Amino acid sequence: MLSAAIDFQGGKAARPYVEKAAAQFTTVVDTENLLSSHFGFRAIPNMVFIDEAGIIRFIKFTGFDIRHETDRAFVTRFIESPNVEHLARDSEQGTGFDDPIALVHFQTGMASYRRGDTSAALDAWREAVAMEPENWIIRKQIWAIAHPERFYAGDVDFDWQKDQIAEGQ
Amino acid sequence: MDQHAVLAVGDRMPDLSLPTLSGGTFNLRDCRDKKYILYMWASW
Repeated sequence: MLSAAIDFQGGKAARPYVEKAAAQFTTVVDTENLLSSHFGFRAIPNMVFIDEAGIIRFIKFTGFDIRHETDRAFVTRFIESPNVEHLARDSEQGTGFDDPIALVHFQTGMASYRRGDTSAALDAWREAVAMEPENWIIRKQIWAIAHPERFYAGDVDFDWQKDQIAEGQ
Repeated sequence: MDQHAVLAVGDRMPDLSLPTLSGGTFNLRDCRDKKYILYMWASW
């Protein structure tokens, strides 16, 4: 098991969740959306199965939840099966961004964020999202940074997120 | 961010090092010698 927290804010945002879960496995932190770029997803959570040879055998994008019986069954099959070739692919493909200009906005925002200019970062990321509103990685990351009280003061406020979607934020 | 082919089933894991929460680094290429499940999530 390898856990990857996709968080522009770095490990400080992810750490409480990992500690609460008392996770025994490694967690890496992706602050630059590199995994999205490599795997081509625009939302999370996602799951990738990798065999003993380091070959990707199955990709499941979005909505993976170990509490769901179907997802749990996939994991069990992967662990138990000596031959994982039969695992069908169930994924959408695409790069992190369709539009290279949106990618430029994203990268500009990352540079600003690293400099500590959160306001400029949010502006640039909003430009990226305006071009690609289905990019939930960027969209939700903007919310988390602009409205930390909705994410890090107790439970994540999903009702607030629904309101944001309804308002087109 | 480099532009590169999107990974698909059958591909090898990429040579990509990321920092770990414990202060080290982990290269995705090292997902081998046992089965791995890579779970990608976020705090938000």
